[in-house]
Amino acid sequence: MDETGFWSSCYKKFFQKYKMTTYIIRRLLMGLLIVLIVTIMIFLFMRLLPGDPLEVYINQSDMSNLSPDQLQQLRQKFGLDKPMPIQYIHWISGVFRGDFGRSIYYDIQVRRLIVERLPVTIHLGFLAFILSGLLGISAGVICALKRGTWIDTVVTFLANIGITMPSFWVGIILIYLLALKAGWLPVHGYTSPFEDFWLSTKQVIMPVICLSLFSIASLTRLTRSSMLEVIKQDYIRTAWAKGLRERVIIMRHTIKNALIPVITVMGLQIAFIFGGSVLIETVFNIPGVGRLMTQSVMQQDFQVVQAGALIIAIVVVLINLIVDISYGWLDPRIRYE
Amino acid sequence: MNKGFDLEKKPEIQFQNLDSPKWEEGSPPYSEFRRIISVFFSRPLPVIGLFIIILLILTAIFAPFIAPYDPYKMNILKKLRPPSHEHLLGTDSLGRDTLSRIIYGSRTSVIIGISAIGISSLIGLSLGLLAAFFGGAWYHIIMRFIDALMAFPMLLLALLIASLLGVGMKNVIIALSIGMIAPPCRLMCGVAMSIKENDYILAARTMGMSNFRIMVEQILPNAFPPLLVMITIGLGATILAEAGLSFLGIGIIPPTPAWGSMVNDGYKFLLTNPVLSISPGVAIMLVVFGFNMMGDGLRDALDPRLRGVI
Amino acid sequence: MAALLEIQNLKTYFQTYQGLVKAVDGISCFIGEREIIGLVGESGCGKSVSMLSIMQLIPSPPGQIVDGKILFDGQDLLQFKAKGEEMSFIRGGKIAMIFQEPMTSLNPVLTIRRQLTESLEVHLDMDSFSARERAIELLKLVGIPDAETRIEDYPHQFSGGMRQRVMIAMALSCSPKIIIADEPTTALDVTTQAQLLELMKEMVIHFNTSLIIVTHNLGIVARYAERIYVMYSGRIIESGRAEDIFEDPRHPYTIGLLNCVPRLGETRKRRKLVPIVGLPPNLINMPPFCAFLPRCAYQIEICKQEPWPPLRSVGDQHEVSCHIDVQERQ
Repeated sequence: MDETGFWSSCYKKFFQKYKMTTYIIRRLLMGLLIVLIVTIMIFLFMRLLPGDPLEVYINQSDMSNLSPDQLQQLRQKFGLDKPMPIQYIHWISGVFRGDFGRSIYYDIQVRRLIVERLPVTIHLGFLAFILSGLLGISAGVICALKRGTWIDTVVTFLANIGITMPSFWVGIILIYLLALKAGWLPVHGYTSPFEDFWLSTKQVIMPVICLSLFSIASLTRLTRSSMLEVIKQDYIRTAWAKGLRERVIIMRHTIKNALIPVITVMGLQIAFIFGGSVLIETVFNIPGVGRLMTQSVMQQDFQVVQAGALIIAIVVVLINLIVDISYGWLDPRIRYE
Repeated sequence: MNKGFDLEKKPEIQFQNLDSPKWEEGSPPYSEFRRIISVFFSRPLPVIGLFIIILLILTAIFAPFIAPYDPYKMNILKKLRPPSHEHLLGTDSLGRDTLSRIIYGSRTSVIIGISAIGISSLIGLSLGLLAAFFGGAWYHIIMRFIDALMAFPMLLLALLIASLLGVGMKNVIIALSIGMIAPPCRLMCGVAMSIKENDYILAARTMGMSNFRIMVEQILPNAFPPLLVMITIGLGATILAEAGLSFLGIGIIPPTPAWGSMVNDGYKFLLTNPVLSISPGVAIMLVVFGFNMMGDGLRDALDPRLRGVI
Repeated sequence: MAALLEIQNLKTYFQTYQGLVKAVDGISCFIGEREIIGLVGESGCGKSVSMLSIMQLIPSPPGQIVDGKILFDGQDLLQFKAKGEEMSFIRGGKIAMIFQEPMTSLNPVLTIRRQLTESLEVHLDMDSFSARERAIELLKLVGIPDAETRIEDYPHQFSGGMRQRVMIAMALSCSPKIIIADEPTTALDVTTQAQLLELMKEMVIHFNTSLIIVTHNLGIVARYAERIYVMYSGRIIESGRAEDIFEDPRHPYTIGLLNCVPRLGETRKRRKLVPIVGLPPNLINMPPFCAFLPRCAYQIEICKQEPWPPLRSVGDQHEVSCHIDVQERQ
């Protein structure tokens, strides 16, 4: 064996991994930048509220009981008399230390609320994400391969219907059919899987279906059309011309290319799933961040709203980062730009 | 094996005297517009979609003539009736006719949908054009802003804005407009970036065409096909979002008839009167289906290459 | 010599939005061992489609091979199903193809090594280690510098000419009996063209393969091909040895083609380029008379009434499909 050949090839593989690492680092920095912009947006947003900025911290009815002097003292305490950039830094440093403020409604640290509720939402969201990815992509691939057969027609039609259904409405119908009428599943509620796995699973089935329905349908459609596009490409014709078997062509040549646009969209799906959790947690009475946000908006509990929005946005950015990195692994052209 | 051919031996010919019998060359007259129309109408689903949308628009416009009852009229004596001859879909908790409320609800959806998509497309397109055309710092700033915007789920964003501005149709439109800026912006940016380097843009600049004219006359039209598809599908998404907001009680609030809030109202009476919740949902599904199928048909007719993108 | 591959009366039609396109309408040709033949014609005359029909790579919803036989190694290839095992065995292993567009013909997400070794593993049953070694040898053979390192690269890291060399390496890798090169250099610049054609000729001699060059460029076939087939509107209108075609062309179209080629050193005769007027006929709406008639300078009465006749012999291995005998008209 050629020694120099071996070493230079090793070097080459290392160099490609290095390109991948630079790519990952670049994406990470980009993600941090976006999170920064998100914080600025949230901060500015909260400051845009009409009325006294003190309302963000203190209940309105309480405020009317206080004298102007006391109000001024409170303003100083919360740093509202300082210029905006200072207030921003004050807030951000608080966030870094884990201090998200105090909820007006619950009168406890917002941090505690988030810590209680976030795992719930993530539990449901994660399940929905995985389910939609697995089901959606497989269905899409199968439809594309069996194009024109009845399987394709039926599944594509179902997918077309699936993207039209409002998730909360599906939830209501599922509750009506499976819980109220048939009694198979509990109507609502949530238990941690660590406490009671079986009950937790039963409670989680309907919400996860509702959360993932749109994503499954849309991923099916997308994967199907992406596969059909890839199959028409010149390099697939080359693969056939080399005498490879159909199975190999599909698995090795087609799917990897077809997944490229699909993976990009999956990153968007996670934001959508979190948006959906706002609705679904209300329908199924699940104590997650989504329902917390809805309630806090109604109750004008702005510290909670602020913190919740920040947390959700950060989680979305994080997951998009992971998606971007897998995109880089799938498509070598991206690593080099 | 280098062959030297003696090509001088070839006969020298003059091409004259070309008379051949009359023969109709070619196939039937071809026009791009005709092709688009015939591809669109060649499959059933887009046609059904178009039909549904036309129906929707007609219902919204002629609601007062179609609806059997006044959607606001309450009649406590007749509350929570199941479907009957008088009230085809029954009545709600305040005695209002469900069918009429659904018919009038189409107005809400159409107005909100068109407004939100219109505003967001305008803003999104402009931002995308600016970002791509001027490049450099502009591009990065605008794109990062869009990325940050996309980190917020649309419903969450609408929640935030509703918390800021309060409830009501106007605020829903504002909230949804802001939430839908990202797709047209990215689309326009992508299209503009890919065309920007073409020579005809350079030629236009050399002729002294102002930047604004170049953007509007040269670059913008290239985005029309995918934009049209995006708008059609976006209308469906907007209606779904608006329904979600009304369901939460943050969008349109009663007594204005809106499909989402009707689902919410009916939720309490799910066991006894499921029609109250189910029928507005069916309306939502139909309309969104119509928009989606029309969008698919448009996309296949205009440029099938977009299938993986939009 | 005995024919290695023989095509008999091949017909491939496409069902399109505007009608039935008769892309290949009854062609017959053959290629022997260690022969280089050229298939010449304008764009749209059916030459690529006929080659794809041999490999059964015609996209099947619009296209279909409706008639004909393709005899290879004693078997009719058209009896085999397009996606079946027998065709998979033949493609790449016995008959290989090089395509026109090097920029899109390689899979962007797989390394060159993977794309080379997969046919080696399938056809020659090599294990991945020796396949890799062989792939590096092949790359060196086709003239890719730094083959040991470049083999781990992806297609987008190669230029067009390099990619076409990789395609040539892929085609040669399993030592096929026939290589079909479909406009292999049309998408490349002239210098690269010359290099690649010389390379292909060397390789063909080195590997004892036959080569079919499909092109619209007469210069290429003049230099490399031993026999030439001229196609027009889905039919072969003239065939013969290269010398005969160039020195004694019998079909008006061939004559016209040769007149179109600019040549050096003609200033003293001030010869103008004489193009062939008109356009090729619409393959959907073929006239009942000779398809070349509107552009032909040698028309006689019968040309306006009957379609062109089958190929008739006018010399040693020289055949023409025309009503008139050009020589007599001089």
